[in-house]
Amino acid sequence: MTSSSIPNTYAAKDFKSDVKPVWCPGCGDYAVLSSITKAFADLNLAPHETSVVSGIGCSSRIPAYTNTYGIHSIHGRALAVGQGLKLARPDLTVLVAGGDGDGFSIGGNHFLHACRRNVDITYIVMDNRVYGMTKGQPSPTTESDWDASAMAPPGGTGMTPFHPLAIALAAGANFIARGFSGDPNGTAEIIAEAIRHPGFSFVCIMSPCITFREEQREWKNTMRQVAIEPTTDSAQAARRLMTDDGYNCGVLYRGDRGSYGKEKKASFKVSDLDGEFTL
Amino acid sequence: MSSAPDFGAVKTSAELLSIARAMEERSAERYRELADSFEVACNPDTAEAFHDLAAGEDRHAADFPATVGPRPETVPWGEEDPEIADPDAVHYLMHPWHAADLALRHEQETLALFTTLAEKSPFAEVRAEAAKLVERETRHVAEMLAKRDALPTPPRDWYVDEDGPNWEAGD
Ligand SMILES: Cc1ncc(C[n+]2csc(CCOP(=O)(O)OP(=O)(O)O)c2C)c(N)n1
Ligand code: SF4
Ligand SMILES: [Mg+2]
Repeated sequence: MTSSSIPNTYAAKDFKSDVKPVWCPGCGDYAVLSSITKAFADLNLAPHETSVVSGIGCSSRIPAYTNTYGIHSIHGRALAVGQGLKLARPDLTVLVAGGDGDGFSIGGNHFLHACRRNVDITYIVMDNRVYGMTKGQPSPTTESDWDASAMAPPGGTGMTPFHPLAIALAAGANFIARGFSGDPNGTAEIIAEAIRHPGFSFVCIMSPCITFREEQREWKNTMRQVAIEPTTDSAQAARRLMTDDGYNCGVLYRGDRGSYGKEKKASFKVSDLDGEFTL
Repeated sequence: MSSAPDFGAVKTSAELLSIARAMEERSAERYRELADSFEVACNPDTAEAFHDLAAGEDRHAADFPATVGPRPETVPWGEEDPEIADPDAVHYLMHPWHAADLALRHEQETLALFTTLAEKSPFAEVRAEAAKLVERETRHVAEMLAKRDALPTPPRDWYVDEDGPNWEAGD
């Protein structure tokens, strides 16, 4: 993470682009966009020092709405692109963002290995437990019996929902938190802390899809702030996460692993590489 | 998920005025964002209603003296400004009446907040300034109520969309 030397040069609105979001009125992603731009401003970043990388989905449209460097990449591949970007440009703050379908279905394998690799990036998943963009198919985080959409199988998928936070911990993520779009200031603080924390930081933000999962409007009554301090002990974090009901918001785990590539040189000369092949 | 208000956090009337102005400005920004989302969702009447609400909040902000120093981005008495509409408090089929009703609720919440501050602040100058804000917000509430009541009341089934996004064969 880098920061500008002049304090508070940019306000949150300076990180918003002029492109009008095409999200449904009331979609949780509007508030997530506000939290992200607020976190950038609070961290005193500059747009040219910051980059937002995404995959495909409603939530993945976010790079178009931020006034930073941005890559709206391929479905499920945002983490591969984001990690590559960070390794090539360690001076940039890299935020990867997308949806539960993008990150945990088609991108599930990249998610596991990004947690293990621990590159110093922040990964935000706007979890609405559905594929919003393609009109309401169940995602890996969808409840097994959910069949309220025309696109869901009768009786639901019958599959156990994926627990992204527990999986992130098991796979080696260095920072794990849950936010809620209905608490944009609290979520902005979590995002700022995630960016500050070295290594791979994962923030799962519950962000209602009010079109295909209208009942998620109720989340504003069920989400709560965790009443406990974040732990640095992975065994304790595992216990917490495995007994978590999915409604606890806040920082749940702060690891202390050194981030990948830290000790590597930011740039290298081809002549140095040549030297390694000299007999 | 908001925390308990800390009414002692605002210590001077100048601080209170800059917060009150920032609340109106942020509220205007939110209404403008909502207007944009209704334009994109092809609901031009409600988009116009939100643009109109944003212009009203601009006028309210301009009533205050220009703030010196950086704009306070958060209010010290809780996580969210009561003046600001939640981005999820809307529906793509809502009518201008609903927009005005939403704005009325937020004006009422702001009035309630300043009323409590006028009673509970430990600082006399803050209590006095808050009492003036109570007068202003009482006017805003009355204006918004009149505005809402002048608009056509939506039909009872305003949210029904027979060609909706979640339409199922056989529906
Ligand atoms: C390779 C590929 N497969 C499938 C799709 C179709 N597709 C587009 S978005 C999407 C799922 C989006 O769901 P999610 O990531 O949860 O985002 P949301 O729209 O809910 O924010 C799918 C399957 C695609 N664009 N590319
Ligand atoms: S379909 Fe759902 S996720 Fe997509 S913009 Fe609409 S509310 Fe948001
Ligand atoms: Mg989704």
